[in-house]
Amino acid sequence: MNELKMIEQIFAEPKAGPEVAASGRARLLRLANGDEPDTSPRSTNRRTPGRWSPKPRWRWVLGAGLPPVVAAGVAAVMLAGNGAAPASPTSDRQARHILLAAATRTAAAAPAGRYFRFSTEAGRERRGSAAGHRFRVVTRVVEDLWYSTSPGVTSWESSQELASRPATPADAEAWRAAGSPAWVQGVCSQSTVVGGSGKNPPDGDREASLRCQPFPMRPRPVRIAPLSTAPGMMGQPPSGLNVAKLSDDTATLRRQLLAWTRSGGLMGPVEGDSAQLWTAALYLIAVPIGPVRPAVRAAAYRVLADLPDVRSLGMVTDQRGRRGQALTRIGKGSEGVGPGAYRLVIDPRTGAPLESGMTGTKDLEYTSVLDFGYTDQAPPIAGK
Amino acid sequence: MAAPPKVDEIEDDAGLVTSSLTDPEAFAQLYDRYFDDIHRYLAARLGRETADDLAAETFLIAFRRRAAFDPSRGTAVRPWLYGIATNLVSQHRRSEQRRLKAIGRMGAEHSVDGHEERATARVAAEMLRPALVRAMRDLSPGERDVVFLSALGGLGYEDIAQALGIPSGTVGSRLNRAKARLRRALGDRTAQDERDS
Repeated sequence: MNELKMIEQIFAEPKAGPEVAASGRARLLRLANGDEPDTSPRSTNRRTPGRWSPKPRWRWVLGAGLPPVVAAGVAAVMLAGNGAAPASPTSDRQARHILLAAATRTAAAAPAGRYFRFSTEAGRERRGSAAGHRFRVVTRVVEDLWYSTSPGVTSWESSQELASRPATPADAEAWRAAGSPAWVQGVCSQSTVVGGSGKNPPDGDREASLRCQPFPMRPRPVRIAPLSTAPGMMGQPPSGLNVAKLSDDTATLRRQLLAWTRSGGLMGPVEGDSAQLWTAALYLIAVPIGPVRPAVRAAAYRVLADLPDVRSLGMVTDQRGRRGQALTRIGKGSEGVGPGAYRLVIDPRTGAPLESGMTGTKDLEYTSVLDFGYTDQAPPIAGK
Repeated sequence: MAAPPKVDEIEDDAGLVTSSLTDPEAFAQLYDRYFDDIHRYLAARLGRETADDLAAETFLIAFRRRAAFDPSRGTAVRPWLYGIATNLVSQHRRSEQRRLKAIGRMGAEHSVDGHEERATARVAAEMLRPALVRAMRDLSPGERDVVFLSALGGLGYEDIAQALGIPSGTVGSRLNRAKARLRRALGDRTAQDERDS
């Protein structure tokens, strides 16, 4: 008999009782769920207030770095400074509770109706010039999508450019000084890449040239057309994401979303499960990609609730003056997303998304969700 | 439109650590896989009662440190857990010494027991217990770590090297030195028995 075998014989003890194993497992799950404070002095991942800038952030900044479809459909919004600061265990639990409550309320909606409607307003801050005056305005586009749930019935899309809004009173004054022109020439740098991390600009970064186009200071006519059903087009799911097959089981949905993102679904290189799941879940919650069943939408909220780095910002007022609970996740350049605080605002009464987006380093960019859900109403455009 | 790719239902250890970054509860699967192993190792070194606490603590520490776990550097989960458990042992050296003393005394009392099992390996070990335990006490902490990881954890050189964060060559030299000492102690004891009989 060798020495090591004898050591084993002498020192081995009976295995732990089931109650011991179960008790330890319960402790682990409490920690995993954020219900047990991380009190270990050896902990390496505890956040301290010192890691967060104490300076309020009031700037309007650009939501660069979202994958193109998200850049088109997900808002980038202003963060009101002191609400963005803390990341305490309390705020983590708060974020989780808000998201789980939103999941519960979302799941209660009936997944039935002749149409699934998703209406958004997308705003973007731009620089313009007229008659020697320079100013900043927020361009706004409303998209109203009506997805038919009946085979053979047309789905419709309407879109309208609203009047661009001067960003500040001083900008309004500059615009008036220029003679209140109906059209304003955009000012931008053609070399500016919008929508990329700066290292690996994804496909579709056409915003750089679009921003140099003129934009209206008066409302434009409503344009109505049958909704394109081609994959990846406006109003449709991004390529590879089969919404109809997504599970309403949280763990399964998470695996499905990761399988999609890891196979290049986001079109841009987004690194890390958390960044990928945040982006993917936002597609299901806040982007018009077709009818997403309430149960799946609820599961997407639960996926977000499980992310370790989502924080609550408390109640905020969105671009449309609506009050909602804001959640945020800090995106890092190393993840392949624009660095900044990504934000989702939820109506706590209904679980409906109000607004989503991010703060980066430049101009405001946002999308507000105006209306969504199943309805038996006929679209006002269907008879045309 | 293409369906989402199928996902493996059973994730490997490293995959579970990665998954647990976004799905913290996934870490519980690692607990289910390795709790008994870690408990057995800790119980051997510090006694069952202390192991009841520290085995769970090992997983709590691992969970908190999971973001730093880097499978791309060839680290495997099992040795990583044993490494954490070994660190906990090093913080309980007095408990370990008490345990070694107790085991040595117990061996002296029990070594004359037994009838029908006299020929079994267990009894052979029991007979030699005092000498072996004494030899274990005389080993350096680093040598004891290597012996216990090998004997109770069943870890190979590479895994022990990962667990302790030392080169595998050092593992080999420590283990050889420790085994030589244990053999010598056993030889002394065997020679003593032969003289006594």
